[in-house]
Amino acid sequence: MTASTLPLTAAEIKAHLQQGDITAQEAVTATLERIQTHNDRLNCFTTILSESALETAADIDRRRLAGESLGPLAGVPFAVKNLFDIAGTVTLPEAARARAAAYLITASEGSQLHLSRLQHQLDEFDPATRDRFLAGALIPSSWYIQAQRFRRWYRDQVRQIFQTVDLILAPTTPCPAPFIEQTTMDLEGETVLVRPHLGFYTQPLSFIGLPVLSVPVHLPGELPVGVQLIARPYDEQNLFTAAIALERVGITQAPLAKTFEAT
Amino acid sequence: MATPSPDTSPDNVSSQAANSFDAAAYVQQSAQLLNLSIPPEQMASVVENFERIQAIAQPVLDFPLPDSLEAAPRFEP
Repeated sequence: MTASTLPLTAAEIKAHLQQGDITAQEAVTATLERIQTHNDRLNCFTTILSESALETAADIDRRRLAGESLGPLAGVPFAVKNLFDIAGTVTLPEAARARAAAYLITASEGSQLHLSRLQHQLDEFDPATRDRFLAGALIPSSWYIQAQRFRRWYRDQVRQIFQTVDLILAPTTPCPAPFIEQTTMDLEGETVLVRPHLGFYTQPLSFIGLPVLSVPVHLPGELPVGVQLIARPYDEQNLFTAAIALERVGITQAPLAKTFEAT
Repeated sequence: MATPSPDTSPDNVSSQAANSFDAAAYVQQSAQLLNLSIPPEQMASVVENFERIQAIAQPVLDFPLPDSLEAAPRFEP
């Protein structure tokens, strides 16, 4: 397969991969050739992860040959907006720092909201929440103000992205829906607590007030994973339009649980 | 032999301050200032939480922002 014969859509590539007409390595190689041919003129890509893409593709081909169950888009080349962190890759603009600043503001404002109760009704708090609130109440004002200043800077950076795109798609959570009793999960190779990390991908966005719509995507044999559609400020209409389109073509679904269907 | 001058560069002063910071003392003193009575059996957990916040705050505090950039008095997306 060459760049000129590469199918144009993700659905077509997926179909060819599943039928065995092409391998993931061929799809990636053809995509890289196409990028090399056109990127000088189009300037679409800032970082091209050729090596890791080919390694991942080889692994997918091996697993498909071994008869392993793969995700629906396994082997389909994709691009990631550089707003989001990628393990082992430097991305812009400062999403990890935005997450930290969001945490500082939330911790400080949340503790201030409860300050009177922390002073007079301490025993009524859940112990884990209580100690976090107490620590949050002691955050120096200069830290809080620096976080708010960073927030303004970060908002301006993200605004620039929306000068060239209408919507951004990203995972909502770092894992499929966790079970109620689940306390830990895997995040970028580390075992972390579920509760404080569920907002890992949403904090840098809600931090600057962007409209976000999260839709469930069902994977075979697994609980659904959330995908968030992100728009520029005050552009909720585009979010709903895109969400309806995704639902109509069957990419997202929100079926009723069996318990509710019966009633 | 000349005595080496102490390194008083801002980076070094900042890192020395961070190294000598006593989180337990800070938590005790500032809690008193805010009229928060932290029972002794909870103190270690509160200090641990504060140290975690401090670690999270550091990259934000280290980020250079223009002096002219102010926090918006009313945040607008």
